[in-house]
Order: sequence, then structure tokens, then C-alpha cells
Amino acid sequence: MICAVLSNEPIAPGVFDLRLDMGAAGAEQKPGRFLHIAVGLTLRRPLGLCEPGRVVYAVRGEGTRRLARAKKGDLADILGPLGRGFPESDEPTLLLGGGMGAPPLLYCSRSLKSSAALLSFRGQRSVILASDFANCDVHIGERFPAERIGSFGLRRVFACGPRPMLAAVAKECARLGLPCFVLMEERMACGVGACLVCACAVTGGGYSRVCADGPVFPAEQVAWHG
Amino acid sequence: MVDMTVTLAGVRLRNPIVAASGAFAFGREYGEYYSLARLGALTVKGLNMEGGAGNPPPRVAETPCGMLNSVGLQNPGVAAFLRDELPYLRQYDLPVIANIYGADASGYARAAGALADKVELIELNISCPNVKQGGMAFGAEPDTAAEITAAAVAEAGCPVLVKLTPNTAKLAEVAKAVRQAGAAGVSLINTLSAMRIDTASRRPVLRSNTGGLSGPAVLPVAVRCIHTVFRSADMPILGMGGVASGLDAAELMLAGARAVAIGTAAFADLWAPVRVIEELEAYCRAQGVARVSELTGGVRLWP
Ligand SMILES: Cc1cc2nc3c(=O)[nH]c(=O)nc-3n(C[C@H](O)[C@H](O)[C@H](O)COP(=O)(O)OP(=O)(O)OC[C@H]3O[C@@H](n4cnc5c(N)ncnc54)[C@H](O)[C@@H]3O)c2cc1C
Ligand SMILES: Cc1cc2nc3c(=O)[nH]c(=O)nc-3n(C[C@H](O)[C@H](O)[C@H](O)COP(=O)(O)O)c2cc1C
Ligand code: FES
Repeated sequence: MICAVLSNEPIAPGVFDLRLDMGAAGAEQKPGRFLHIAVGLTLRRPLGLCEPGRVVYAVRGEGTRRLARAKKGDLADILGPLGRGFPESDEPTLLLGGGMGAPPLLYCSRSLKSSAALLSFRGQRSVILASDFANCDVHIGERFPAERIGSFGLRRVFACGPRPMLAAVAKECARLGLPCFVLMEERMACGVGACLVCACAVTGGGYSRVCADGPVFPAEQVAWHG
Repeated sequence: MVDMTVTLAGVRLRNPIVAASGAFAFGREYGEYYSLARLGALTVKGLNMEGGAGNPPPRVAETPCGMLNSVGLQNPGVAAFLRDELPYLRQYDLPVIANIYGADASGYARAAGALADKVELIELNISCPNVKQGGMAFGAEPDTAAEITAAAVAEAGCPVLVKLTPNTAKLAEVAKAVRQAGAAGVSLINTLSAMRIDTASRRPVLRSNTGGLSGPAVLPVAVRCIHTVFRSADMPILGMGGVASGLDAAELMLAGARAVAIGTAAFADLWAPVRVIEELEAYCRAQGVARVSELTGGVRLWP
């Protein structure tokens, strides 16, 4: 799908806020789903929806560097929205974000009742989106304190961030008996479930496809040391 | 009107563009986007009798003009393929090519026997760089390649293609050996064994350390390999390797391919196979070619 870039502005050092005119594909957007964006290289780049028609991304390598050059009025070649998102019920939820894990959680916050968000960033300068969360008490920190999960008294957890953080969250949630859903990142090629490169080791053996079976998984399905 | 039909190892294809093994799973995912009946044929993900879990991630690394993969033949096994996947493909008027592998000649033979008359073509993968047993090691030597081919041909109820590796100095010999062993044609090229290292962590990008290179980077290697086999072994060739446009497909056909498979190009452009069919037809029109099959081997070598 070809869609117009509405804006693509930096919101923190090395972090860009891309807005797209999604047209008809707009209706398929859901928290946790992602867009697979062509950058003129062999592989597209998967980026999670931060809101309808919006992705927030960090410049990491050649692909995101190219994306950062897009300007208002340019055309973007998008596949998606793709993948399975977070559960859709609106029950109060604890949102746990590490770094660039914050954008997909912002989207979740829009449709949840009285929830809380615990977001960790490396230093004040890299804090993003904190004031945009809706229906949420937002807590900002530098380090991720898994042991605080229980203190919020919320009965469900959504988490997004680096794998070690997700593993710690999964462990603590299992201990507390809290249902927990994690957004997994893995390198992708096709993005639609056909090439099997985006493997996530699952409990019970074998691999699931992050692009088609995920990217959101119940934390207990992930084989964290697999 | 250009006649786009071709015959590959005795099987008639509506057009020469084929989905390559491993990029299209068993067709379902792409079937959501366009009718698979538009393709010349579809090659399914590599199958063996037992099924396989595949390699740990990361399984993909981008490269200049290409990519490495180390999927490692993750598949549900032949029985599950026949039960759960083939019926889906059968709703389309589409020749199905079953790509198979085994740990030894009898493994290939059993898989070929189980698929016998249920698919139009069987493609023996003796060229995968991503599995420890078998795979590429079988395809590098004429003797082992012939042994596996003979064993599979004896059990298969349909023509057998043998998929060859570019990772051998004996390509022409291997092609001749598999022809003598009963292969109806060859597919080439499979991926090239390759490696990338993350300079910050000093770790290979792929968890399996090495993987197989595909995409535009390998196109010239494919052209050369196809032409070598075309000239030395005189047998039907399903060409592949880096094709992303109609002109790329024409190039492989001019080198000697009867049909052309597309893998990696579908990752950036899901509609690549459909687009390539149209572009190839436009090339034929521009060249005044009435039948696309006339392109095969049509390169005019310098004297
Ligand atoms: C479902 C999903 C959602 C994501 N959402 C976001 C988001 O909202 N914001 C954000 O900043 N980033 C997000 N990422 C990570 C983002 O995809 C990578 O940072 C990006 O692909 C890096 O590309 P590059 O060319 O700049 O880096 P390079 O390192 O040059 O990329 C080389 C290859 O590795 C892949 N790659 C590298 N890092 C990652 C990674 N962490 N995850 C997946 N593939 C990677 C690239 O896609 C490319 O194929 C998400 C990843 C996934 C899988
Ligand atoms: C992700 C991926 C998986 C593959 N899996 C298989 C496979 O199971 N069996 C096989 O014979 N070839 C497999 N291949 C090789 C392709 O079929 C093809 O030979 C090769 O990629 C070159 O073509 P391309 O450049 O168009 O991708 C795979 C390639 C890729 C990229
Ligand atoms: S990226 Fe191809 S299966 Fe997930």
C-alpha cells in the first residue's frame, strides 16, 4: 500500500515521530500490530503502531536512517497493519515499557480503563511520549524495577521492551499469578508468516512466527532461554 | 499476445514464473493477497518425513543487495503437509512442486515415495547450506548427488528436479550425474554459504554463525551457473537467484532456464511474482518474441 507521509519529525535525540495517511487500511489498526515499511533495501522494517497512522522509531541502522529522511508529502510503501495485537478488553492494566517499547503501549492506553504505565528510559533526554498516555498514572524511571509490579494492584500486564526486561517481567508475573502479554521483537523478512525467519522459541518446543503468530504473545508461551 | 506457457520437465506451466521454496511456505499467506493461480507453479517449503524445528534465531541478516537466512528447514513433515496444506493449494489450478530433503538417500526416497503421485514435480534439495546433515554436502559431489537422485526417482511417481548448489567446483559434473541418475531437470541456484559479523559485539549476526545468501547479490552467480549447466548437461532448468524484475527473469532464461523462480524479491514486494510475469511479457513484446519459451538459451555468446 502506498500512503502519504503527513509528517516525520524528531521528538528526542535520534527518535522520530512518523504520521501517515493510512486510508482504507486504517480500520485494521490495533494496539500491538505493526507496519512493515519499505526503505529501498532488500528487507522492510517492522515498526509497531503507536497510534492509528503513527509510528515512533529510533534511528538504529541504515533502514531507520533512510526512513528518517522522509518528508511531508513523500510516499511511503507500507505493508500492513500486520500481526496479532494485544487483547482487546478494556480492563485496568499495568503497562510496562522499556525505551522504544513505549510507543505500542501508548496505543494500548487509549482503550483501557484506569490503568498505570511504568516507563523506563536511559536518561531524561530520551524520555518520549510520557505526557501522551491516556487513562493512566504514568511513572518514569531509569531502571526497570520488576519487583514493583505487584505494588500497583492491577490484574493484568502488557509489556514491551528489550528481551531481558520482558524475561524479568514474565518471571515476576508468573510468580504473582498475573496474566502477562509481551510484544516480542525479532528480525523479519516477509512479515506475513511465509518465510519462517522471525522465530520465537516457545514452551513445549519449536518456534512460533513473531510476525503472524505474534508479535504479542502470552508471556508463558515464550521459552525465555530457548 | 505473447504465448507465456512453458514446459518444465514435462509439466506445462501457464507462465514461467514460479514461487521459490522457502519464501512462500505452503502458499496460504500469499493467497490472501492474490490468486496463486496466476503463478506458473509454486514450490513449497523444504519437507522431510519427520518434520523439523529449524535453527534458533536470529535467522536473517540483511546484506548489500541481499540477505542471509539460516531457517534450517523448519517444516511440519510430509504427512502433515499432505493432510493440512496440500488441500489448500489444490483449490487453485496450479502445479505444485514439493521440495524435499533427507538425512541420507533412503530419507529422500521415503519422502519422494510418500509424495509419489500427489504433486506435479518433486524438487530434491541437496544444496541447503543451513543443515548439518546432508543438504549442501550431498550436492557438491557427483557420486552422492547421483545416489540420492536414483533413490528418490525410484520412489517418485512424478518427474524429479534436483536442486543444485553453487558451492561446488563440480557443477557441470554434478548436473550430468543427476541426469544420468534419472533426474528430469535441475533447479539452480540454492543460496550461497555466507556469514556476517556484528562489529560491535563481534558476534555473527546469525545464531547459526553462517547462512545462505540470496537476493540480487547472487543474480550474476545464478546466470553463470545456469549457463554452465545449460551448455554441459542439456536438461530442463528451473532457474533462480536474485530475480526481482522481468528483465532479471529474461536474463536467467537467456542463460538457459525454462522457468524462473522468485524468493527473496517477495519480501520487499509481496506482488513481485505477479509483477515479474507482466514485465517479462512486456519484454517479449518489445523484443518481438511470440513465445516466451524461445528465450531459453537465447544468449548470443561472443565468439
Ligand atoms: C513487531 C516489532 C515492532 C517494533 N516496533 C518498533 C517501534 O515502535 N519503534 C522502534 O524504534 N523500533 C521498533 N522495532 C524495532 C525495529 O524494527 C528495528 O529497530 C529496525 O528494524 C532497525 O532497522 P535498521 O535498518 O535501522 O537497523 P539495522 O541494524 O541496520 O537492521 C538490519 C536488519 O536487522 C533488523 N533489525 C535490527 N534490529 C531489530 C529489532 N530490534 N527488531 C527487529 N528487527 C531488527 C532490521 O529490520 C533489518 O532487517 C520493532 C520491531 C518489531 C519486530
Ligand atoms: C528464507 C528462505 C528460505 C529458504 N528455504 C528453502 C528451502 O526450504 N528449500 C530450498 O531448496 N531452498 C530454500 N531457499 C532457497 C530459495 O528457494 C532460492 O533457491 C534462493 O533463495 C535464491 O533465490 P532468490 O534470490 O530469489 O531468493 C530459501 C531461501 C530463503 C530466502
Ligand atoms: S517474517 Fe516471514 S514468517 Fe515472519
